[in-house]
Amino acid sequence: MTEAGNGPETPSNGSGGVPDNGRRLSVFAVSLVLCGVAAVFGIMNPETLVSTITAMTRYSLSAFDWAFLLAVTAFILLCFFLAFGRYGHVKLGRPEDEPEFNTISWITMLFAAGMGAGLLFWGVAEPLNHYLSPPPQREAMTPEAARWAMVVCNLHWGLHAWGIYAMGALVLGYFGFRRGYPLLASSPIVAVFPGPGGRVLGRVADVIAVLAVVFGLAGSLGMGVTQIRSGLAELYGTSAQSMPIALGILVALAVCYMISASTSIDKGIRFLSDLNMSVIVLLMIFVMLIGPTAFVLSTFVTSLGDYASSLVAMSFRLHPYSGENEWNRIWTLTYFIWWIAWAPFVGIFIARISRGRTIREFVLTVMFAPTLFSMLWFAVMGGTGLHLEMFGQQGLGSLALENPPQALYALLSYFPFSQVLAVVAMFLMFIFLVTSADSGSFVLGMMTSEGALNPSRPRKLLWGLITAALATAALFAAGGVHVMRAFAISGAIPFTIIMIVHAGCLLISLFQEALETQRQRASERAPTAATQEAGS
Amino acid sequence: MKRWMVLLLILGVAAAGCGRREPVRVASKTSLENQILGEMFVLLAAERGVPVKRLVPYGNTFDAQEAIKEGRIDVYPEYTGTGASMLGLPTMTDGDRALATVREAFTRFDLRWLDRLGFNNAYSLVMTSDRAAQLEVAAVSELTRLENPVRLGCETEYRARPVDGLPALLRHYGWSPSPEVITSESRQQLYRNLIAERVDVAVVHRTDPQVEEFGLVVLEDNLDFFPVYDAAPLVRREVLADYPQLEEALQALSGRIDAATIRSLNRQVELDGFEPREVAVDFLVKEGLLKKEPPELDQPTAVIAMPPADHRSATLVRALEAVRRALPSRRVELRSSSRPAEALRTGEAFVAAMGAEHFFEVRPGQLPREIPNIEAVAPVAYRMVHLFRRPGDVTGGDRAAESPFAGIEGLGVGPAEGSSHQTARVLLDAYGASDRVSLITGNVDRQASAVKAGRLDALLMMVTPGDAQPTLLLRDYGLELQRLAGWDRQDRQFRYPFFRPARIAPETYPRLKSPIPTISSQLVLAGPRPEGPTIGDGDPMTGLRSQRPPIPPALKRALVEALGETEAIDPSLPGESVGVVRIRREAQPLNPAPELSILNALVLLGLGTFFYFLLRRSRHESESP
Repeated sequence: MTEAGNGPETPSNGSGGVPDNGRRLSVFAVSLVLCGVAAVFGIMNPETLVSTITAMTRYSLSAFDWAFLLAVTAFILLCFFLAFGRYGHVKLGRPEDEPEFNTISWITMLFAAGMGAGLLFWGVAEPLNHYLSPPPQREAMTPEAARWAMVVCNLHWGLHAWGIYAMGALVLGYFGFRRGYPLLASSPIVAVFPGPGGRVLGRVADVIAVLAVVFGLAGSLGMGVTQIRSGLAELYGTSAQSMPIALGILVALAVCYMISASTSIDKGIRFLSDLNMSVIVLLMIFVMLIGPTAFVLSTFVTSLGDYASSLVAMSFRLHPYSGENEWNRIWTLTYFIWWIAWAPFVGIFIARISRGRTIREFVLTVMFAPTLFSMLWFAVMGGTGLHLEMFGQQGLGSLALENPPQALYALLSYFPFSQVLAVVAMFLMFIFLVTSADSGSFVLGMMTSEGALNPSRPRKLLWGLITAALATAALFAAGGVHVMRAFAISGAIPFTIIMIVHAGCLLISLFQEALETQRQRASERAPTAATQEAGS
Repeated sequence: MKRWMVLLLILGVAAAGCGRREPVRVASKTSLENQILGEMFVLLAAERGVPVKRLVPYGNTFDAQEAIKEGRIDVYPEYTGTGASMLGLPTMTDGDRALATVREAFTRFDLRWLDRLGFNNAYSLVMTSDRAAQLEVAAVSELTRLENPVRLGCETEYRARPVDGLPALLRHYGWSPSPEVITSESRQQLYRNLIAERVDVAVVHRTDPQVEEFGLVVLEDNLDFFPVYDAAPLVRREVLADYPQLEEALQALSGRIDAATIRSLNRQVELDGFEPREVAVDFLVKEGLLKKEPPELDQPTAVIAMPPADHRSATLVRALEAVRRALPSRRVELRSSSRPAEALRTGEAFVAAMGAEHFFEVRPGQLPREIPNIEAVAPVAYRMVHLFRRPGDVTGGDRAAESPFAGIEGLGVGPAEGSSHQTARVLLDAYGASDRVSLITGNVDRQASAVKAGRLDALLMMVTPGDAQPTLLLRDYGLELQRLAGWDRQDRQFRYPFFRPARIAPETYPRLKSPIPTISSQLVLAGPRPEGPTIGDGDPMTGLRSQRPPIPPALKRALVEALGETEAIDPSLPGESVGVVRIRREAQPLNPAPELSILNALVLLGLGTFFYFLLRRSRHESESP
């Protein structure tokens, strides 16, 4: 009964699976035109763009915070349901499909795509932020505040983040590899609602997804460039405002990711992700061993328990009585909105590299492996930071509040070879950006060539160039970071709705598949019984 | 696998090897002078290749003594007199004998006193040169024989010290008639009392920078009462054995720092607001003891922005000290900024020390507009307007109330965009004198002499009453204070609520016999106050903030505590007072936001449709043949 379907199922309606030239052109063309319009508008009039997008996001978050939190929590519940329920054995792919990448590389790639550079310094800065300026009803700078700081970080970077990604990827992987649809945001909708309404909706979803990825990526690139530039300023005293340096970094980044993008995933992204993870693990081990090792490990174990025991409450916690929803919006919901903003891109990418895994394997790995790693990372970096703040030299905390990235360099300065460590941190940041941009161009290539699993090189490079151009424009625009940030989160709210619809489509489709299997088996059983009888 | 084990083994051995030769833990007591010396020890040891762990500052005398005896720290600067008194030895006035005594006494703790640095930080009696000349006093014994009892100022602690304190001083000299003792809570206050001639003589440390700053006369201790406090490194013998070059490094300072030198070093830290480490580096480089400038400590700088001023008042230095205490292990620096509010917003400054007047934008004929995105965080002090004029020009009575600026055409206001400049703008507007009076910016001392010479009509300063600078201006240029009355008339208080009427108390300055009505405003530490919720800010990608977050309550409390000011923040300033419970806002209607109800209903409707389709499709599938 729970056994997966036997044969590859062809889509019931041809329009979804077979590339349709007119439609492909339209998604590609419409996206390009809209990119251009938004970019020109954003650069001509950054003020309006920024204020419109942030006001929209802000309003949605304060009006619908309950719905938003509920949706994210529902994604996690749905993932658990799928993993542990009757559909756990369903494979993302045909029965004979084997995973394309080994498990370690798979995990490193999804981690590199999903988290990236931010984890590097938020690992130090976020626990300190919550320690000094804790969530409502907690007393700052107390042991209790420190304990909750770790829990809150785990909430922000843990199962919820990866639940969002897993959900996004699962839907696409299922429809893409099992039902034979292209890896597109439109596929689930078209599959379940084959009528013209579904097709229009699907197209809209496709365009939104492309725009979300382009702008999300351009924004992230631009922010990453400013980030590296201020890191250089920190290390070598170069100017933190210099435009030539920013452009130089951007060019270096672009060259690297273009080279990587022009190779296959296996050579480019996989190599970068493996490299990245090895370095980050070495850095973590170094910090753990030279720093307060026992304290860090106790922190890890404690936060495991605290996180597990408060997960349910936190997944539903708003603050309607204390009127301190503010905190929730600034931190928790802001994080969630960023994860959703990146979901179209990370989701497709994770789906792409997860062919041949069963739903259970997929959900458990995608949700738990990175979560556990983040928790360990926070225990090591954040724990060391907290240890310094609580028992050693104080002062790191106020810095983490003021300038989160700088807290990482300040923490590393307490370690031997601190100059080398700082360079390593910068290197990691650079590689993370290259990986993101590379997988981003890859995903955009897929999205605009009808979900081709290996999009053509010119298409990938074209999108790589477009993102680089947008990032450059954003760098030059007045109010740089604001514009980039507005770019990056612009797709989040619409994409939340798309994700909810996707989840529904997945459920319907799974149900349908189970029924068909049942029927097929029932109809098979009858003839089999007949032949057996005949044979005997 | 085997290679890993070998690697681990090597690492283990290396770690064990490092463990044996621990770095030298260099500490210092908390006073600024001790911190400067401690930093010098750190720098010199590092210069000679001794691995150093820097514990500057470490704690008070008791902490440091206990720690070095128990081997928790290895070296710190100490005074021979303190060493002796900590062991209960008799006080000594002879430096060589004192050193020999403590050297012997400390051998039983396995501690060694190295050679003295060259200055004696003993207590002394000081007077202003004027007063000393008036009373014709040069030595302590002459002071004890005067006809009228002198007014003697000292810090509260000195009055209680058993062996070398005030009672012992009086007994030793057989002081008669007994002086009238006026105690001060802080050293700054003590000097203020002395300058303002509220006391005739004060007990201070001989190395205080103020002695030089105010040109004070040190009275000769002709009956040898004050014990010597020669500074010298106190080191654990064990460390000297481990690192022979350490002794050499520290002895290089021997005899190099005389009283004048340490005073000027103290001055740079205490009055000019430089970091002890910077001052130590400068000195050592100048003395040729440091070949090259050492790398800067990885202590990120926290900037305090302040409006331009050509003098760092005691109040400002106090604010600087408070921020240093609240932000340990950050380099804290005062930086002049003509727009402190802007510096806060851009994140250039961590806090700003600014008067209430700088929270507002002032344009002639318009109500002051509050500058957005900043808030008052911690109160520092109330300052008062001082309007200096030539004695003949000062007006009183109703005339002062109606137009205190009458007869003034050129008004000196100190540095451009400074507190006084901004204050003057507000006052001229309030008294309707903007078009008659022109504001002249420049150096305060030069402007004061211009007023004296008649080239300027008046000089306006916003300053803490009794501060050294106005005291010196009144004394040196023979100026007088103009009354600024009538602030409570013509709704001025409502238009400019951050300026409150006040009076400069009599005796604040020498020869000030009656209170001077004037206007006061609060000097506070200000921080950023972001506009509304910062959604989408502080992203998980870069952590770059588009707006500085506000200073969190815990840090605010630390600042308030460090400042030790009990008065709350002036309610006319933006910002929440720490610890004040806000009264519940007015009752909200049953539905505070109907438009949200509609939108939320739409969301619910959407979800309903979603589930409807979900269920219908499922049923449809299961029913279809």
